[in-house]
Amino acid sequence: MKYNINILFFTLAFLLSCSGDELVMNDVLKDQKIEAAYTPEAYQLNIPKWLPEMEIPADNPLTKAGVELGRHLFYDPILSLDSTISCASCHLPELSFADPNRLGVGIGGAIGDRHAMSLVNVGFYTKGLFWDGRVKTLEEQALMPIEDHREMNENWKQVEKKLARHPNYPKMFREAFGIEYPSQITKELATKAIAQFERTLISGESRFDKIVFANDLDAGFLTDSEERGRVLYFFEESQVLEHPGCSHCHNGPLFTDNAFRNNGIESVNSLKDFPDKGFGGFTKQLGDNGKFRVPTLRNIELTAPYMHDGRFQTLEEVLDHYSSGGHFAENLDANILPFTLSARDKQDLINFLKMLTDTNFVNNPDLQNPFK
Amino acid sequence: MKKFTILTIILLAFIGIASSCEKNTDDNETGTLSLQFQLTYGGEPLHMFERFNYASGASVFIDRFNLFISDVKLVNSTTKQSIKDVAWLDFSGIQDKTTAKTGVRLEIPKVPVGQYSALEIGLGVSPELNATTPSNYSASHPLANNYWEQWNSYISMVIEGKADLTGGTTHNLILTYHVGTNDAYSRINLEDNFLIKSGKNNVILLEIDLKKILTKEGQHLDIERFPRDHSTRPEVFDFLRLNLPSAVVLKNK
Ligand code: HEC
Ligand code: HEC
Repeated sequence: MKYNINILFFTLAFLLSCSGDELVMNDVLKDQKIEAAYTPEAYQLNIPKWLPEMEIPADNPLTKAGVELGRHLFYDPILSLDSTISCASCHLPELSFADPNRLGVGIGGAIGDRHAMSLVNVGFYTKGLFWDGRVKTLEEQALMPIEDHREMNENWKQVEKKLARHPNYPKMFREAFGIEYPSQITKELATKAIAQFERTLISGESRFDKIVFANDLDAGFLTDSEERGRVLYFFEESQVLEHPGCSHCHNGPLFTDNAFRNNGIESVNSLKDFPDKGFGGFTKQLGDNGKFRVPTLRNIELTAPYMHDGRFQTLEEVLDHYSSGGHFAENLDANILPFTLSARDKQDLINFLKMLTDTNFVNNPDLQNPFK
Repeated sequence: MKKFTILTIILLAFIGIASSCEKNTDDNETGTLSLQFQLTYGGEPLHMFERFNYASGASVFIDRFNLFISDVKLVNSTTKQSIKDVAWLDFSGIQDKTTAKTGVRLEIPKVPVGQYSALEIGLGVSPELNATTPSNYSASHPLANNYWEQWNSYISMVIEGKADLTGGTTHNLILTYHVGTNDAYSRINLEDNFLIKSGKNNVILLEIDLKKILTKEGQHLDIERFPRDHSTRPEVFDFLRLNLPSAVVLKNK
């Protein structure tokens, strides 16, 4: 028995020293001065004038090389443990960077507990990211999927090493951030680059934008059905109590007020019983349980399934939910009220929502996978 | 080219000196003022979801209270000092007794020190700012949200909650009152001696009494007949907007 343990010990020691040596050798070999120029050029964001200004952190100004590096990292499965999953596995460009799966599917098919929302206009959200608002900045957010065991399940030390040994990344990091040695590649720089790329995910050229904001005559006019949908969406008839009231929450040029609200999708006996506490899980205030961030409705035609848990497959189902008035709870938002929705109203509202689809955005070559 | 560089350096140096001077005077001659707003019902601190007895006999709680204030000035015999263009007071995070006592704190830096005799507050969004739209602002600015397209106006006050008309514990009547448009704007002038000193310890305590918004001189808003209004019915809109100015007072005055 003693003998066996000894063998085990020696084998282990041998194995450990081997892999250790290999890493050290690799590090020594690759950490030579990077041969590339550092001439950062500012990246000009192209923000239509009807969208708000974007607030960009002073310590992470956008540069052309930074955005390009960020795009590569976003699409590169090198960030995951077994090189199978990239950010784009759950945030698909052709779907406005949302996920067709109901819940996030990460490494080895591990299932998360929320639906990956669209990243459209994500650079404009200042009141907290994720469905529950628990993260403040894109830089901070980008750290998380890498180490989440149900997403990419890798650790950053390892990612830093993989990037440093890579044939192209050291050069790209130098061009973006002026580092001199591959060993200076850090998770902070990687996430800064990803955040820079994410800030370029700007959509404001849907048919709605062209007609309503840009007064672009080439875009034509609203069809009768779209116009009826628009009125249902934005207006309240003065003396009628019931109305869809969508724009109480999905309002402004971003089609969200960025607030946290309970839109009544969950049936619970008390505020303590929400299966996903959402905003309340973050604020630790009972009254915030079951509230989620109001998501944008831009490109909504492309981003099914819907809600934080992807429970609805179609916009028809979403509208049926709203017209029912939702499930009552003490904190059910006061703007969620039952309303009658004729088949025609439904179609009109959906036709209106489809006006928010921006094909220029989803087809924008600058946002596509650079490895294809 | 060389000439240009030298000029630039001189210019930059000058700007540097000028701005550092400004900083010095700033520290000595301005202070930070906190306007601390407490939401009350009949003078008692009120938090979200807290039940209160309404004049009609109903039991009511609110779960959202927002108010825009704009064009805030400190006044004395020689100047009217603008100190804040616009701010959005959001009480939805106030959900317990402790935070209800503190209320919502609005920090205003760089207020010139001195003795003032009145605080002027615009309740709602001033017509000048109300002519703008969310597109004019950066994403975290209060005027980047809270806009109602149908009125071409910001929503200056939001009162949302639920009621049990019988006074019981089943609060299933939803109440929503959204007040906006230029007609919803009013100004109040709160007189007192305000001494603003350098540093951060200048605090003015204010109170917003919801009871004074919903009731007046024996009359109260008929929440049964009008559980919801969007600045359309004069019985509701006028009642709320005209009551608001007397509901905002200096605390303990
Ligand atoms: C396994 C699927 C998956 C992968 C891989 C993934 N995400 Fe996500 N992402 C999600 C889910 C699910 C959410 C919502 C989670 C929540 O709200 O708690 C999300 C949310 C986000 C958000 C918040 C958006 C908003 O509006 O609040 C950002 C930004 C984001 N992801 C970026 C990334 C980046 C960058 C990567 C790669 C480093 C990445 N994601 C990889 C599933 C994934
Ligand atoms: C009280 C505010 C409020 C109102 C009014 C409202 N919504 Fe929502 N909406 C939300 C919130 C909050 C969510 C996210 C809820 C969740 O995921 O749990 C949401 C989610 C959605 C989604 C899913 C988006 C996605 O990316 O998954 C759609 C579609 C939607 N709403 C459409 C509408 C339409 C159409 C109307 C009008 C009939 C409407 N909403 C009215 C607050 C509101």
